[in-house]
Amino acid sequence: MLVLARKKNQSIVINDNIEVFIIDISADQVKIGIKAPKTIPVHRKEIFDEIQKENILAARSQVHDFSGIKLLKLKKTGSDNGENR
Amino acid sequence: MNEKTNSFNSARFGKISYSEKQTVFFKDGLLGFENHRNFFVFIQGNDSVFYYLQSLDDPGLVFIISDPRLFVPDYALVVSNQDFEELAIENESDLEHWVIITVPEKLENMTANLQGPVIINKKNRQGKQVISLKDDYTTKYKIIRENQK
Repeated sequence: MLVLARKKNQSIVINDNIEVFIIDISADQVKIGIKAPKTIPVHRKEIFDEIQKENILAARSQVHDFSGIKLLKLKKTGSDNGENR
Repeated sequence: MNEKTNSFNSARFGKISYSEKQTVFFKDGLLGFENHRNFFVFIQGNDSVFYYLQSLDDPGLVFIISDPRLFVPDYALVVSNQDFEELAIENESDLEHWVIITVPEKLENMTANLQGPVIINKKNRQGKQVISLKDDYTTKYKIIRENQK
């Protein structure tokens, strides 16, 4: 891993089209600005971790008989997925 | 169209038939399941709101999925253009989207992962688990709310 020391208001350029700015620094937090083309997704790492963790739990889901709850508690819009909008 | 039917032996459901148009190819797998690329979507019974996403690479891996708008009517799918491009989605009508459901021991505690929806291009059957750019969505949305009991 490349490690660079940066000060407030300095930045790093990645691949000509991504710029990472150090906007602000406090005791235990840095504020980072990222200028990148819209096509480049930028996400906080915790979100990846959370989704991954949730997928693992989801894969262990109990398979129940859902037939009892569907009409009772969920909005009835039929079983089509996003067809009629 | 000539629809070929295949059959798969699911660890949970036994023998299930499916057609090509039910299959989904996830180039990157799902988060945490990167090696599972081939799935198919099926439904048990007639009018359930819950569908299943069965891995063809592992008979034991199946996810419960649902249309998020059934319980969050204003659910907004906000994902990056890159994701759409990857799946070659040209029109919104090509798009199918699902959320993955987690069912713990108690059915009433079931949750939906609104933060990491699964999108599928209906035309080429390519899919991807994406990260909602609207990041106030939770990975654990409780589907059955207290007041609905």
